[in-house]
Amino acid sequence: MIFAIPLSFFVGAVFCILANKKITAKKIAITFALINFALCFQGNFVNNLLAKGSFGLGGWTPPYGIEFFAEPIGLTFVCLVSMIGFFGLMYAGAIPSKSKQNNNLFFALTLFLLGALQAISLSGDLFNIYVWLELSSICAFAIMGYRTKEGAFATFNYLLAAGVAGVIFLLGTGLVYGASGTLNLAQISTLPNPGQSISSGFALIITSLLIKMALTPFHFWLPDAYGNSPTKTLGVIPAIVTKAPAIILFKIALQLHQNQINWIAFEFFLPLMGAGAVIYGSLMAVKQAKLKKILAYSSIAQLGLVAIGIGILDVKGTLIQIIAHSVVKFSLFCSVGALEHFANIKTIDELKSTFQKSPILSWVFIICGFSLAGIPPFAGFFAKYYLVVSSLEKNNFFIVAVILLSSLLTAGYFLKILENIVFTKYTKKLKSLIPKTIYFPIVFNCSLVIIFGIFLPKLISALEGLA
Amino acid sequence: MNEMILMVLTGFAASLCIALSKNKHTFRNMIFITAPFLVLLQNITYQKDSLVNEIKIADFGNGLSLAVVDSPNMVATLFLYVASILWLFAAFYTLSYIQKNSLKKSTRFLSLFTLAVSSAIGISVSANLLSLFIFYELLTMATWPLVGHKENQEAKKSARLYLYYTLGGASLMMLGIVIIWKYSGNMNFQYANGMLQMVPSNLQKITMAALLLGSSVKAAIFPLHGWLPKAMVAPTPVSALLHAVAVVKAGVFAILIVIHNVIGLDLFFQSGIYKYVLFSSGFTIIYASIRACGEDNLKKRLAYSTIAHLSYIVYAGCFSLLAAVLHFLAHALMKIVLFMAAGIIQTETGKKKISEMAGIGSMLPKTFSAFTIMSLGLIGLPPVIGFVSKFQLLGYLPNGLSSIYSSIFVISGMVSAAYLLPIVIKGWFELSKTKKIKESNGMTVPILIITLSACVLTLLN
Amino acid sequence: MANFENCFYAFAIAFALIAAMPKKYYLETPIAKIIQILAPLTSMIFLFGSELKDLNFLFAFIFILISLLASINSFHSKNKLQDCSSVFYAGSAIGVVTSSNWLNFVFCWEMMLLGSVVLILANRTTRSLNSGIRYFYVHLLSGSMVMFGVANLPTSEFDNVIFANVNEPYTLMILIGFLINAAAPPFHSWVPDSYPNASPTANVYLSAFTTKAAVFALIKFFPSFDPLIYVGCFMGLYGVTLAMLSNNVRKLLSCHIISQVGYMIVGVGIGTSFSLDGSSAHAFSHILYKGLLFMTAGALIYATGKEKISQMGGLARQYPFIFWSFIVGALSISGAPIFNGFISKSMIVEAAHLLHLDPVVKILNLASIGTFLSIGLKMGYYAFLNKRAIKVKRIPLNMKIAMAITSMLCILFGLMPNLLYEILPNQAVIKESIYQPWSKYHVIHSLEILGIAILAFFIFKKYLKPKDKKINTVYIQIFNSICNILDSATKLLQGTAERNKKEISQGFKNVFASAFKDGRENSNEKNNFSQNLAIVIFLISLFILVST
Repeated sequence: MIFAIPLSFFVGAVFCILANKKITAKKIAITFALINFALCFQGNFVNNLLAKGSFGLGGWTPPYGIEFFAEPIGLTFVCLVSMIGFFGLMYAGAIPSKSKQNNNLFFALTLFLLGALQAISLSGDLFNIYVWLELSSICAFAIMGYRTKEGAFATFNYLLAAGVAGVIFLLGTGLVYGASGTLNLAQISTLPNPGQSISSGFALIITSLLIKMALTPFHFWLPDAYGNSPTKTLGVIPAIVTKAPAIILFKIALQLHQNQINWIAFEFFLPLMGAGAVIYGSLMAVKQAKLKKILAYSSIAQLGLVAIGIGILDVKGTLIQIIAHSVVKFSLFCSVGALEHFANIKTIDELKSTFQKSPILSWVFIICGFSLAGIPPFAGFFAKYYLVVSSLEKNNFFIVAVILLSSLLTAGYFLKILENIVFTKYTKKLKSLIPKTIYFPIVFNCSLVIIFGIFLPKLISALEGLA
Repeated sequence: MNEMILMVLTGFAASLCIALSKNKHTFRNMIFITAPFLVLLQNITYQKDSLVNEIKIADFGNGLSLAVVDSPNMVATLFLYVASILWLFAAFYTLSYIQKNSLKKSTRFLSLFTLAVSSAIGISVSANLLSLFIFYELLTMATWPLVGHKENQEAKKSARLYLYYTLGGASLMMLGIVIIWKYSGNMNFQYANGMLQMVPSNLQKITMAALLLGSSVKAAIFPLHGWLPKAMVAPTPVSALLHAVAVVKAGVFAILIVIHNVIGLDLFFQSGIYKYVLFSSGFTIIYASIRACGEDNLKKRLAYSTIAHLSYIVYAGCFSLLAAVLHFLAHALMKIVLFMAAGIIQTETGKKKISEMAGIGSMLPKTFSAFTIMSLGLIGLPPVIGFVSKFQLLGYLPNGLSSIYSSIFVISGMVSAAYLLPIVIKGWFELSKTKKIKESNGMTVPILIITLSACVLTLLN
Repeated sequence: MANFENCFYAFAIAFALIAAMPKKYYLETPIAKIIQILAPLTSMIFLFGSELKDLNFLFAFIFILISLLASINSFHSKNKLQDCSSVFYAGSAIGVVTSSNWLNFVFCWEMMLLGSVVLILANRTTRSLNSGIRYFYVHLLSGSMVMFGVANLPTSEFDNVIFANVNEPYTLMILIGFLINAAAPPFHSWVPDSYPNASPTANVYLSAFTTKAAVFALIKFFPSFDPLIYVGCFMGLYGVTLAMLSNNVRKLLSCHIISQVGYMIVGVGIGTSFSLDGSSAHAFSHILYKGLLFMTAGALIYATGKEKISQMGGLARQYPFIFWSFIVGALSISGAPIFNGFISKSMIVEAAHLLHLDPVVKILNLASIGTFLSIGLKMGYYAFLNKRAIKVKRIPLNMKIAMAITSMLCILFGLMPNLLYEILPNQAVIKESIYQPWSKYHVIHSLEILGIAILAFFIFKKYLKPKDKKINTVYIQIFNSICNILDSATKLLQGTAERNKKEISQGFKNVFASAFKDGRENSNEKNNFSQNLAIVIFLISLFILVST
């Protein structure tokens, strides 16, 4: 029954296309998102997370059938997607569309994207992963370029990168299949004698995943894509789309790290690239003036932390970082989008009037900023904490230093934002033009930042030992 | 709910109430004053339940928790009392100051002020390293907007600098905390001396260095002291309570706890780390004292003096907690009066530079006599409490040390006189042509009370 | 702590009362003055009712006595600050000599500093301001040294502690602290610098307490410490020489204090119970006659408005009262019979003689000659007898009363020495009976000294004539240069800090290219050095990080 979760999204997508003026696509989308949400968080949800089970589609068992393999990390991501998807849809619905066309296609594509993301994390074999990955990318392009000019430019780079990544992935899959005869990850991991081609196959796969994840030095598409994407998509895309490749990478790494891949190389390279991403992203973010670009570079930096976590095979740290970062970036991107759409605030300098126009969003910035910097008791702190613990275990002091430095570097770019929000001259109170419906997802999400800060570590510890 | 938790949370609740009170100023002021009253009351009536060791506020799993301690040890109790009592006085002073200076955005100011002091109280009763760290960072966050409150270019720059310094310190502290947690699993202060033993010896020095450096940022030890003089652009109540009592004393408290509870005195001396601590704090004393002589801005001079005296406490803390704690108390009292007096001078006469302060004694006699008495105390003269702490400080230095270390105190006493005495003399004995100005009671009364109590405390020893 | 003797509390209460008195009340009623007189009286009563004995009793007695006389003397002055501080000062001095543990002792020692500084500053002239500041620093040094030494003592025994040698650093510090207060060279300069700049009525207080409390401390803690003999001898001669060169009447007397304290220190150094008694007795007498002399000097200044001897003259005719009081004081200080100097001064010389320290005896005798020369003859002749008359002003009655009482006391003790001998700590004279004040030898000896002095005076009259010239003491120069050094050190530190900060921050700015300018590109070729420096530092730290 695990498959029911993404299935609900797919069904919803179909229904969205059929929507009409009365039952708008927005309502359908949100309904199905709710259904999905309920399915995920039903009952004894922690126990569900701990469940491990495989389920072959159509009753076909591997190695021929498509297997859905549920395991804690994947299930966590599924829940995350459903939650963020729900809020993202609410947000997208609250942004009025500029032109007169109906949004059916938009919502359908969004639902499909979400479903695909969930399906990725439930997949157990390579081809399945490939299919859903490409599907999600296509949906992402479509949404981003959806009838807006700026979106079209943004999409182009993304298209290129995703395309290249897809090809590489296919190549790698081919190599692996040729050498091992099966595509199933579980079966591959138990192969007694991995050869050179399997290693190189996986190397290609991993590279493609890194491109999709926008890890330095493959990050070139991210700033443009996120920086120019239309407001509606800001809820859904920036927060989770790049997380999916990360989750897949993590799963692969955990399952296969002993034999198949030349893990030594990746153990060396991944943390380094992650560290590079952290430093580079933060430094570049300092120079930017446009808010969305700053957040894009900040995402690069935070994803660098995720990469570090994967590189050192730390379950807790990576998971907490993924969850925390998704939540935080969701709030931030949505706030920025709202400010841009309704209050015409695009650059840092224009932030000076934020506090008058929307005090709530100012608080969102402040809280999320502190979480990014890794200040307790917000969610970001524990992520860094566990990451440092694991890097110490591997005696990798350079990484430790980078992780600790990341809070300083974050402060480097976020401080200007915070300063402009907090230290503004008191002028007459301006009317706030931002509709209340926007607030709900953002505020709720923001409170999650705080709540997760307190409860998440315990939760994730319950998943411990499940590498 | 346990009383200790209640005490810690009162402050936070008050801060929230103030923040939400928008324009109802009377209501807000009342909350602002009652909060310290309540906390102080709870403090005094607190009964120790000696069975329970720590009380968890939040459990993060794996042995990590946000917890407060049930029966605080000597240093913690002292910090707790100092913070709560001085908070009360500072509350009155702040309200008067706001009213007299027409401080903008006062609601934000008051709410953050309360939050900051509550965090300081939380620091004092933390039961383990993680709680200390959490409250420490909360303090940073709460004081950052206060530093930049005036919102001009200078304030923004100082606030930025402050945040950089403290975040850097936080990262280092986190390193130390993580290492300790990894190897000993238990960061509780009650299990003294046990924490660092379990860390493998190649990491021990790094841990100690990380923890000590991390907390020295707030304690303003050279070369991490640069933020304090710059932070003086904040309005005076901030400088008085926070940067003389709460923030910097939290830093010193952290160092003392680290040395005595986390590292343990034996390991501290064995490993040779004590040399670095002694050297840097000794150097800070001399450097800051000399630097203070050259500053013309009164608050900056007091800032450097604070830096010097904090290093006294750290220096003494390497040898004996009792002497350090005495000077902790004495310095807090004296410095807060000095800063408050500086604020009054600035409010009433608009003067910030010492060279303009001729004849202040005749203009503001009550304020300036408080200032004089407390300066004498800082120099180490009776009958102010500074004398007692200096005497004990000198007494607790071990005899075996080379006299260079011990003569630092003698020399620095003289240099303290060199930077404090001119202010006093200029104020009283140089003639100026201005008339006497009426002093507002709101601000002077707290000062006088504190001064008198300092003298009385001396006699009671 | 805090178990002060009741004598102390009398003064503490008086201080509080006077300090809290509103200004109008102070100026219009004599209540403050009455309190100032009552305090020593009450204290005296407490003293006799307390259990103090020996050394403590003697010193407390004389301190209370002189504060009584000084308060009568300053009855006419209307300086509230002076009154408060003099009571504070007297009280803390009494606290020092009646203390029962180290904490009390150091506490009161430091409070003496406070009281005396404010007393000097109360004169409110520029000169008193400057010399007050210098005084503060010197005595702060002394206090710190004592505090430091005391804090490091191995035991906290107070009563029978004797430091036989100065091997330990803390003993040395305590000794130096005491010597600074006792005005031993090279720490003596504060005396001639600050005492003349206080107000005349304050001088009586000032001369009595600080130095004598130091002598008390030396007697108690460093008896028979041999180097003190040499220090004392040097002081004796040095003080007298300075006095002979002085023109300002109070400076002359102040330099003279150095000489007399030298005597006392010699007595301490010799260390037999007889010589210790001699020091105590000499302190006792010295307070009385020096007080008297300062009172007369104060009266002169009050009357004529001038401070320099060269500007005075022929005052004997107009102020016979002052003249005769002065004669009493001058003869006492020189050790003429009938007056109290005679009975106490020779004790020390006799003690030296008994131990066959002949050079010491000779030096002390020389100092005696110089004493009479400078005070009795130089001051007496040129201020009172030389024919030049100036405008007159009547001196207030209270001063006359004070001077009269003090003179009578001098004569009283001179004629009935046993009164003094009975309260001496070791009762040496009475017990050991090795010394008879009125022996023929002594009388003749002292008259000899007087005679030689008179002879020398008339021979060297030309050189001794007071001239009005300025001597810029080394002390002030040293002090000013220390201030300058401190100043330049500060500026240097500030400058380096500023420059380095600029360079480092510039370097950082370049490393994080144009980070602090919003979005604009900023190319700086000039700051390559800083940039390279920053990079080098970063690499080095990396290297360190990697190698650990």
